[in-house]
Amino acid sequence: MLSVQELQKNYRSGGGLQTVLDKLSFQVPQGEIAALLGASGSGKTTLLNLLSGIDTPDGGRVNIDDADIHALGEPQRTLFRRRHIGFVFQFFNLIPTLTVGENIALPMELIGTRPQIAQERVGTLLDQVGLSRMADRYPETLSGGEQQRTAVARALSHRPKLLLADEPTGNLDEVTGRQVISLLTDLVRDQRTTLVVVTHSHAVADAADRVLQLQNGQLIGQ
Amino acid sequence: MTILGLPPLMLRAGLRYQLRHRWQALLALTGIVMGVTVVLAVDLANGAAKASFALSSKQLQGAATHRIVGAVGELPDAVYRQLFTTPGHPPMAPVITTRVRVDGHKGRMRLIGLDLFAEGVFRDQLPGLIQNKASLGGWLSRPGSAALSASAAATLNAFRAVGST
Repeated sequence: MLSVQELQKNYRSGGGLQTVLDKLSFQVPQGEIAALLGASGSGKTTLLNLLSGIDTPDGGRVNIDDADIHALGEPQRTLFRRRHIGFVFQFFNLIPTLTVGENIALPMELIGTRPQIAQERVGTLLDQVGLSRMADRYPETLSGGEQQRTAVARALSHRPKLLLADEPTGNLDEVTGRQVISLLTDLVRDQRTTLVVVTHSHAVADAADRVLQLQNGQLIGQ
Repeated sequence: MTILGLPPLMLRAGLRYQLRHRWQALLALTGIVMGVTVVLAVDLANGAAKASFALSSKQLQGAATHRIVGAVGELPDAVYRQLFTTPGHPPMAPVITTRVRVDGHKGRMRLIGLDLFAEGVFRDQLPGLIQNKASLGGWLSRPGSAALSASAAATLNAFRAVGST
Protein backbone atom coordinates (compact mmCIF):
# COMPACT_ATOMS: atom_id res chain seq x y z
CA MET A 1 0.00 0.00 0.00
CA LEU A 2 1.30 3.41 -1.01
CA SER A 3 -0.04 6.19 1.17
CA VAL A 4 0.71 9.88 0.59
CA GLN A 5 -0.45 12.42 3.16
CA GLU A 6 -0.35 16.21 2.92
CA LEU A 7 2.77 16.08 0.74
CA GLN A 8 4.25 19.53 0.22
CA LYS A 9 7.18 20.63 -1.91
CA ASN A 10 8.39 24.16 -2.54
CA TYR A 11 11.27 25.51 -4.58
CA ARG A 12 12.96 28.85 -4.18
CA SER A 13 12.53 30.85 -7.34
CA GLY A 14 14.01 34.32 -7.58
CA GLY A 15 13.18 35.96 -4.27
CA GLY A 16 10.01 33.98 -3.63
CA LEU A 17 8.82 30.49 -2.88
CA GLN A 18 7.13 28.43 -5.58
CA THR A 19 4.84 25.63 -4.46
CA VAL A 20 5.28 22.62 -6.74
CA LEU A 21 3.16 20.16 -4.74
CA ASP A 22 0.45 21.56 -2.48
CA LYS A 23 -0.57 19.20 0.34
CA LEU A 24 -1.16 16.21 -1.89
CA SER A 25 -2.93 13.19 -0.42
CA PHE A 26 -3.83 9.89 -2.08
CA GLN A 27 -3.54 6.15 -1.61
CA VAL A 28 -2.80 3.29 -3.97
CA PRO A 29 -3.63 -0.16 -2.53
CA GLN A 30 -1.13 -2.98 -2.91
CA GLY A 31 -1.10 -4.42 -6.43
CA GLU A 32 -3.05 -1.56 -8.01
CA ILE A 33 -1.95 0.62 -10.89
CA ALA A 34 -2.16 4.41 -10.72
CA ALA A 35 -1.58 6.59 -13.76
CA LEU A 36 -0.26 10.06 -13.06
CA LEU A 37 -1.31 12.58 -15.68
CA GLY A 38 -0.49 16.24 -16.00
CA ALA A 39 1.03 18.87 -18.22
CA SER A 40 4.74 19.61 -18.24
CA GLY A 41 5.72 21.45 -15.06
CA SER A 42 2.70 20.20 -13.12
CA GLY A 43 4.95 18.40 -10.62
CA LYS A 44 4.81 14.79 -11.87
CA THR A 45 8.55 14.17 -11.78
CA THR A 46 8.86 15.95 -8.43
CA LEU A 47 6.17 13.65 -7.06
CA LEU A 48 7.98 10.54 -8.36
CA ASN A 49 11.22 11.77 -6.78
CA LEU A 50 9.42 12.22 -3.46
CA LEU A 51 7.70 8.82 -3.68
CA SER A 52 11.07 7.15 -4.24
CA GLY A 53 12.84 9.10 -1.51
CA ILE A 54 15.31 10.64 -3.95
CA ASP A 55 14.05 14.11 -3.00
CA THR A 56 12.82 15.22 0.43
CA PRO A 57 9.48 17.00 0.99
CA ASP A 58 8.88 20.25 2.87
CA GLY A 59 5.92 18.64 4.61
CA GLY A 60 3.77 15.55 4.69
CA ARG A 61 4.52 11.81 4.60
CA VAL A 62 5.04 9.01 2.12
CA ASN A 63 4.33 5.55 3.51
CA ILE A 64 5.13 2.35 1.68
CA ASP A 65 3.37 -0.30 3.73
CA ASP A 66 4.40 0.60 7.27
CA ALA A 67 7.55 2.51 6.42
CA ASP A 68 7.54 6.32 6.42
CA ILE A 69 10.40 6.65 3.94
CA HIS A 70 11.21 10.27 4.75
CA ALA A 71 11.55 9.44 8.44
CA LEU A 72 14.46 7.14 7.53
CA GLY A 73 18.04 8.40 7.46
CA GLU A 74 19.73 8.75 4.08
CA PRO A 75 21.62 5.41 4.21
CA GLN A 76 18.49 3.53 5.37
CA ARG A 77 16.41 5.25 2.68
CA THR A 78 18.93 4.18 0.03
CA LEU A 79 18.80 0.59 1.25
CA PHE A 80 14.99 0.73 1.36
CA ARG A 81 14.86 2.08 -2.19
CA ARG A 82 17.28 -0.61 -3.40
CA ARG A 83 15.22 -3.39 -1.83
CA HIS A 84 11.61 -2.24 -2.21
CA ILE A 85 11.36 0.18 -5.15
CA GLY A 86 11.83 -0.43 -8.87
CA PHE A 87 12.20 2.14 -11.64
CA VAL A 88 11.40 2.19 -15.33
CA PHE A 89 12.64 5.21 -17.26
CA GLN A 90 11.65 6.80 -20.54
CA PHE A 91 15.12 6.26 -22.02
CA PHE A 92 15.56 2.74 -20.54
CA ASN A 93 18.84 3.53 -18.71
CA LEU A 94 20.22 0.05 -19.21
CA ILE A 95 23.91 -0.41 -18.51
CA PRO A 96 25.48 -0.70 -21.98
CA THR A 97 28.38 -2.92 -20.91
CA LEU A 98 26.18 -5.54 -19.25
CA THR A 99 24.20 -8.09 -21.23
CA VAL A 100 20.42 -8.28 -21.05
CA GLY A 101 20.64 -11.08 -18.49
CA GLU A 102 23.20 -9.23 -16.40
CA ASN A 103 21.15 -6.03 -16.45
CA ILE A 104 18.16 -7.96 -15.11
CA ALA A 105 20.30 -9.66 -12.45
CA LEU A 106 21.86 -6.41 -11.20
CA PRO A 107 19.14 -5.30 -8.70
CA MET A 108 19.18 -8.79 -7.17
CA GLU A 109 22.95 -8.75 -6.85
CA LEU A 110 22.76 -5.35 -5.13
CA ILE A 111 20.45 -6.70 -2.42
CA GLY A 112 22.53 -9.84 -1.96
CA THR A 113 20.38 -12.47 -3.66
CA ARG A 114 22.26 -15.74 -4.10
CA PRO A 115 23.58 -16.06 -7.69
CA GLN A 116 21.81 -19.36 -8.33
CA ILE A 117 18.42 -17.95 -7.29
CA ALA A 118 19.10 -14.79 -9.29
CA GLN A 119 19.88 -16.83 -12.41
CA GLU A 120 16.62 -18.77 -12.08
CA ARG A 121 14.70 -15.50 -11.66
CA VAL A 122 16.45 -13.97 -14.70
CA GLY A 123 15.41 -17.01 -16.77
CA THR A 124 11.79 -16.71 -15.65
CA LEU A 125 11.64 -12.97 -16.37
CA LEU A 126 13.29 -13.38 -19.78
CA ASP A 127 10.56 -15.89 -20.65
CA GLN A 128 7.86 -13.52 -19.40
CA VAL A 129 9.13 -10.55 -21.42
CA GLY A 130 9.86 -12.71 -24.49
CA LEU A 131 13.62 -12.17 -24.56
CA SER A 132 14.85 -15.67 -23.71
CA ARG A 133 17.07 -15.83 -26.77
CA MET A 134 18.62 -12.45 -26.11
CA ALA A 135 20.04 -13.01 -22.64
CA ASP A 136 23.63 -12.66 -23.83
CA ARG A 137 23.11 -9.69 -26.12
CA TYR A 138 24.09 -6.15 -25.25
CA PRO A 139 21.38 -3.42 -25.04
CA GLU A 140 22.72 -1.52 -28.07
CA THR A 141 21.86 -4.47 -30.30
CA LEU A 142 18.19 -4.44 -29.23
CA SER A 143 15.26 -2.42 -30.55
CA GLY A 144 13.65 0.26 -28.36
CA GLY A 145 10.79 -2.06 -27.41
CA GLU A 146 13.18 -4.87 -26.49
CA GLN A 147 15.27 -2.50 -24.41
CA GLN A 148 12.19 -1.27 -22.53
CA ARG A 149 11.07 -4.87 -21.94
CA THR A 150 14.51 -5.55 -20.51
CA ALA A 151 14.14 -2.47 -18.30
CA VAL A 152 10.74 -3.71 -17.08
CA ALA A 153 12.23 -7.11 -16.25
CA ARG A 154 15.11 -5.43 -14.43
CA ALA A 155 12.76 -3.19 -12.44
CA LEU A 156 10.72 -6.18 -11.26
CA SER A 157 13.53 -8.71 -10.77
CA HIS A 158 13.96 -8.08 -7.04
CA ARG A 159 10.16 -8.14 -6.47
CA PRO A 160 9.78 -4.53 -5.29
CA LYS A 161 6.72 -3.36 -3.35
CA LEU A 162 6.45 -0.24 -5.47
CA LEU A 163 7.31 0.28 -9.13
CA LEU A 164 7.69 3.83 -10.45
CA ALA A 165 7.61 4.33 -14.20
CA ASP A 166 8.38 7.71 -15.75
CA GLU A 167 6.92 7.91 -19.28
CA PRO A 168 7.78 4.26 -20.08
CA THR A 169 6.26 4.53 -23.55
CA GLY A 170 7.47 8.04 -24.29
CA ASN A 171 10.33 6.83 -26.46
CA LEU A 172 8.43 4.07 -28.28
CA ASP A 173 6.06 3.97 -31.21
CA GLU A 174 2.37 3.46 -30.43
CA VAL A 175 2.20 -0.28 -31.13
CA THR A 176 5.38 -1.07 -29.20
CA GLY A 177 4.26 1.25 -26.41
CA ARG A 178 0.97 -0.66 -26.08
CA GLN A 179 2.88 -3.96 -25.94
CA VAL A 180 5.20 -2.67 -23.24
CA ILE A 181 2.29 -1.31 -21.17
CA SER A 182 0.43 -4.56 -21.52
CA LEU A 183 3.50 -6.47 -20.40
CA LEU A 184 4.13 -4.07 -17.52
CA THR A 185 0.57 -4.20 -16.20
CA ASP A 186 0.41 -8.00 -16.53
CA LEU A 187 3.66 -8.42 -14.59
CA VAL A 188 2.79 -6.03 -11.76
CA ARG A 189 -0.66 -7.58 -11.34
CA ASP A 190 0.97 -11.02 -11.33
CA GLN A 191 3.49 -9.96 -8.66
CA ARG A 192 0.99 -7.73 -6.79
CA THR A 193 3.38 -4.81 -7.09
CA THR A 194 1.98 -1.29 -6.76
CA LEU A 195 2.66 0.71 -9.91
CA VAL A 196 2.66 4.48 -10.30
CA VAL A 197 3.17 5.39 -13.92
CA VAL A 198 3.69 8.92 -15.22
CA THR A 199 2.25 9.21 -18.69
CA HIS A 200 0.75 11.44 -21.32
CA SER A 201 -0.85 8.43 -23.00
CA HIS A 202 -4.55 7.83 -22.50
CA ALA A 203 -3.98 4.20 -23.46
CA VAL A 204 -1.82 3.85 -20.36
CA ALA A 205 -4.40 5.68 -18.27
CA ASP A 206 -7.09 3.29 -19.52
CA ALA A 207 -5.09 0.33 -18.27
CA ALA A 208 -4.79 1.84 -14.78
CA ASP A 209 -7.04 1.19 -11.76
CA ARG A 210 -7.03 4.86 -10.87
CA VAL A 211 -5.94 8.08 -12.52
CA LEU A 212 -4.30 10.92 -10.63
CA GLN A 213 -4.54 14.20 -12.50
CA LEU A 214 -2.04 16.83 -11.39
CA GLN A 215 -2.50 20.53 -12.11
CA ASN A 216 -0.48 23.31 -10.54
CA GLY A 217 0.70 21.03 -7.75
CA GLN A 218 -2.77 19.82 -6.81
CA LEU A 219 -4.77 16.72 -7.61
CA ILE A 220 -7.81 17.71 -9.59
CA GLY A 221 -9.20 14.23 -10.00
CA GLN A 222 -8.60 10.67 -8.81
CA MET B 1 29.87 -10.71 -2.33
CA THR B 2 32.02 -7.80 -3.47
CA ILE B 3 35.38 -7.50 -5.20
CA LEU B 4 37.37 -4.33 -4.45
CA GLY B 5 34.22 -3.05 -2.73
CA LEU B 6 32.13 -3.44 -5.91
CA PRO B 7 29.48 -6.03 -6.74
CA PRO B 8 30.88 -8.38 -9.45
CA LEU B 9 28.45 -7.13 -12.10
CA MET B 10 29.41 -3.49 -11.53
CA LEU B 11 33.09 -4.43 -11.69
CA ARG B 12 32.44 -6.38 -14.90
CA ALA B 13 30.58 -3.41 -16.40
CA GLY B 14 33.50 -1.11 -15.57
CA LEU B 15 36.13 -3.46 -16.99
CA ARG B 16 34.16 -3.98 -20.19
CA TYR B 17 33.81 -0.24 -20.59
CA GLN B 18 37.58 0.13 -20.37
CA LEU B 19 38.10 -2.69 -22.88
CA ARG B 20 35.62 -1.11 -25.28
CA HIS B 21 37.39 2.24 -25.02
CA ARG B 22 41.00 1.08 -24.97
CA TRP B 23 42.54 4.26 -26.32
CA GLN B 24 40.60 6.35 -23.85
CA ALA B 25 41.69 4.07 -21.00
CA LEU B 26 45.30 4.13 -22.22
CA LEU B 27 45.33 7.90 -22.50
CA ALA B 28 43.75 8.27 -19.06
CA LEU B 29 46.33 5.90 -17.58
CA THR B 30 49.15 7.74 -19.36
CA GLY B 31 47.84 11.03 -18.02
CA ILE B 32 47.77 9.69 -14.48
CA VAL B 33 51.28 8.22 -14.80
CA MET B 34 52.63 11.47 -16.26
CA GLY B 35 50.96 13.53 -13.56
CA VAL B 36 52.36 11.39 -10.77
CA THR B 37 55.80 11.39 -12.42
CA VAL B 38 55.89 15.17 -12.74
CA VAL B 39 54.79 15.67 -9.14
CA LEU B 40 57.40 13.17 -7.92
CA ALA B 41 60.11 14.73 -10.09
CA VAL B 42 59.32 18.24 -8.83
CA ASP B 43 59.29 16.93 -5.27
CA LEU B 44 62.62 15.16 -5.70
CA ALA B 45 64.18 18.23 -7.37
CA ASN B 46 62.91 20.41 -4.52
CA GLY B 47 64.29 17.99 -1.96
CA ALA B 48 67.67 17.83 -3.70
CA ALA B 49 67.86 21.63 -3.99
CA LYS B 50 66.98 22.06 -0.32
CA ALA B 51 69.53 19.45 0.75
CA SER B 52 72.15 21.05 -1.45
CA PHE B 53 71.38 24.49 -0.05
CA ALA B 54 71.53 23.16 3.50
CA LEU B 55 74.88 21.48 2.80
CA SER B 56 76.30 24.65 1.24
CA SER B 57 75.10 26.71 4.19
CA LYS B 58 76.66 24.22 6.58
CA GLN B 59 79.94 24.32 4.73
CA LEU B 60 79.99 28.09 4.85
CA GLN B 61 78.81 28.72 8.36
CA GLY B 62 79.05 25.28 9.99
CA ALA B 63 76.49 24.35 12.58
CA ALA B 64 76.33 27.87 13.98
CA THR B 65 72.91 29.21 14.79
CA HIS B 66 73.81 32.91 14.80
CA ARG B 67 76.10 35.18 12.83
CA ILE B 68 77.60 38.53 13.74
CA VAL B 69 78.56 40.57 10.70
CA GLY B 70 79.86 44.07 10.28
CA ALA B 71 77.27 46.66 9.38
CA VAL B 72 79.66 48.08 6.81
CA GLY B 73 82.66 46.09 5.63
CA GLU B 74 84.58 43.90 8.03
CA LEU B 75 83.88 43.29 11.68
CA PRO B 76 86.73 44.81 13.77
CA ASP B 77 89.00 42.13 15.31
CA ALA B 78 88.51 43.77 18.69
CA VAL B 79 84.86 42.75 18.78
CA TYR B 80 85.69 39.05 18.47
CA ARG B 81 88.48 39.37 21.01
CA GLN B 82 86.17 41.10 23.46
CA LEU B 83 83.42 38.51 23.04
CA PHE B 84 85.85 35.57 23.30
CA THR B 85 87.31 36.81 26.54
CA THR B 86 83.95 37.42 28.17
CA PRO B 87 83.36 34.74 30.88
CA GLY B 88 80.61 32.26 30.03
CA HIS B 89 80.53 33.16 26.34
CA PRO B 90 78.87 30.70 23.97
CA PRO B 91 80.99 28.74 21.47
CA MET B 92 82.12 31.04 18.70
CA ALA B 93 84.59 31.07 15.83
CA PRO B 94 85.72 33.74 13.34
CA VAL B 95 85.09 33.18 9.64
CA ILE B 96 86.50 35.24 6.80
CA THR B 97 85.10 34.61 3.32
CA THR B 98 85.96 36.17 0.01
CA ARG B 99 85.78 35.36 -3.68
CA VAL B 100 89.12 34.58 -5.41
CA ARG B 101 90.14 34.28 -9.02
CA VAL B 102 92.65 31.57 -9.97
CA ASP B 103 95.12 32.39 -12.72
CA GLY B 104 94.39 30.51 -15.93
CA HIS B 105 90.87 29.57 -14.89
CA LYS B 106 87.55 31.17 -15.57
CA GLY B 107 85.19 32.07 -12.80
CA ARG B 108 85.80 32.55 -9.14
CA MET B 109 85.98 30.34 -6.07
CA ARG B 110 85.02 31.04 -2.53
CA LEU B 111 87.93 31.16 -0.09
CA ILE B 112 87.11 30.63 3.56
CA GLY B 113 89.47 31.55 6.36
CA LEU B 114 88.92 29.67 9.62
CA ASP B 115 90.39 29.36 13.12
CA LEU B 116 90.92 25.59 13.18
CA PHE B 117 90.88 25.30 16.95
CA ALA B 118 87.74 27.36 17.44
CA GLU B 119 85.91 25.81 14.47
CA GLY B 120 85.97 22.25 15.82
CA VAL B 121 82.70 22.87 17.64
CA PHE B 122 80.90 23.90 14.46
CA ARG B 123 82.27 21.72 11.65
CA ASP B 124 82.16 17.94 11.88
CA GLN B 125 84.96 17.32 9.41
CA LEU B 126 87.57 19.44 11.15
CA PRO B 127 88.47 17.19 14.11
CA GLY B 128 89.48 14.47 11.64
CA LEU B 129 91.52 16.95 9.65
CA ILE B 130 93.29 18.20 12.73
CA GLN B 131 94.04 14.66 13.88
CA ASN B 132 95.88 14.12 10.62
CA LYS B 133 99.25 15.33 11.83
CA ALA B 134 100.78 15.86 8.41
CA SER B 135 97.94 18.17 7.39
CA LEU B 136 97.86 19.87 10.69
CA GLY B 137 101.59 20.50 10.55
CA GLY B 138 101.30 21.94 7.08
CA TRP B 139 98.40 24.17 7.95
CA LEU B 140 100.03 25.54 11.04
CA SER B 141 103.56 25.99 9.76
CA ARG B 142 103.05 27.20 6.22
CA PRO B 143 101.43 30.59 5.69
CA GLY B 144 98.93 30.75 2.86
CA SER B 145 97.91 27.06 3.13
CA ALA B 146 94.48 26.08 1.90
CA ALA B 147 92.36 22.94 1.78
CA LEU B 148 90.58 22.12 -1.45
CA SER B 149 87.76 19.75 -2.12
CA ALA B 150 88.70 16.91 -4.44
CA SER B 151 86.42 18.30 -7.16
CA ALA B 152 87.89 21.81 -6.87
CA ALA B 153 91.40 20.38 -7.09
CA ALA B 154 90.44 18.37 -10.15
CA THR B 155 88.96 21.49 -11.78
CA LEU B 156 92.06 23.53 -11.12
CA ASN B 157 94.36 20.66 -11.99
CA ALA B 158 96.92 22.30 -9.74
CA PHE B 159 97.37 23.63 -6.31
CA ARG B 160 98.53 27.09 -7.15
CA ALA B 161 96.05 29.64 -6.07
CA VAL B 162 97.28 33.16 -6.39
CA GLY B 163 95.77 36.55 -6.08
CA SER B 164 92.58 37.52 -4.51
CA THR B 165 89.95 40.11 -5.07
